[in-house]
Amino acid sequence: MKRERMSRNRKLTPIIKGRTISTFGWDDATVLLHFDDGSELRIHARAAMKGDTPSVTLGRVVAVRQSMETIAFDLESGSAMLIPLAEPTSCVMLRDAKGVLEYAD
Amino acid sequence: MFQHSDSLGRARRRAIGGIALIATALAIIACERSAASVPKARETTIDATRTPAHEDSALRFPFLPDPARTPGAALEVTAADICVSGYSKRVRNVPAEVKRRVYALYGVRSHEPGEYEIDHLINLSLGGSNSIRNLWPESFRTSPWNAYVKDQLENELHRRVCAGTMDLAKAQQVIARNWIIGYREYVHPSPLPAGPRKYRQPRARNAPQSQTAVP
Repeated sequence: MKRERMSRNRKLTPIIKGRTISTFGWDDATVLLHFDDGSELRIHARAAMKGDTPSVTLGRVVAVRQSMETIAFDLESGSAMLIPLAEPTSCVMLRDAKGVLEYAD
Repeated sequence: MFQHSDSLGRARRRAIGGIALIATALAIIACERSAASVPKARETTIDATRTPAHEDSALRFPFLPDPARTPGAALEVTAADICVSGYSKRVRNVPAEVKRRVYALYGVRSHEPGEYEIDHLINLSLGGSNSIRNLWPESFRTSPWNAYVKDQLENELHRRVCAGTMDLAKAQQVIARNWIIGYREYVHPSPLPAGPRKYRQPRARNAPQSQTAVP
């Protein structure tokens, strides 16, 4: 199987670098990541992933990598949270605690 | 006999003339019908400056995207989101791999720099998304409708939404359904001249070299 190349998301990484993922949840086919500063990241995930929640390691984000099929959050602990995307783009949206849009894919 | 023959000849000529007139009239009617049945938005006037080598790719979808491939897609955003300065910069750039997929989807095998842009049918400033369902190769070179002209409609619709005179969903619908009809309705009945020149920063030739106030 061909291994997918994941490159750093240069727009999202500087925005959420240093924020800590405090909760992980689902809203239908959308993954919800809540950060310690009150911001919320919504990710349209591949439906197959639902119910197959990865062994979530919550922690501080140091980088975000992304390919056509997956988004990965590299954590300070050295682990990474990988989430399969519903489509290559248009799946990720970040709003701050006040609901102001910070990032969209 | 000659008179009879002559009158027969005249009758024949009249009959032929009549047939020719009827045929011409029918041809005109047919032309008008076919012209009426083709939406004006599908007119294909080709820029005469283009060389034949370029015609293969740019002619396939000259003005409008294929609605089956590019129906348009929008983010879950509101007018309050998009009317903030710098909104579009918060949206990720379309990855090169996605652009390649869009070209492939439209059968564009090769193109020159500056021939196309991968356009957001619903533009980013109206909440359009990077979904492949919202992307299509739009030509800069076709005439009279091209990417520069579409930009005028995009700006006008954004202005209306942010002025509160048009609903965001309505604006998205206008541009996704048929942007040329939208242009004719909201910008101008015919395309106004537009080109890359308008993107250049105006130079203030007579501006002073220094802004420092002289006491």
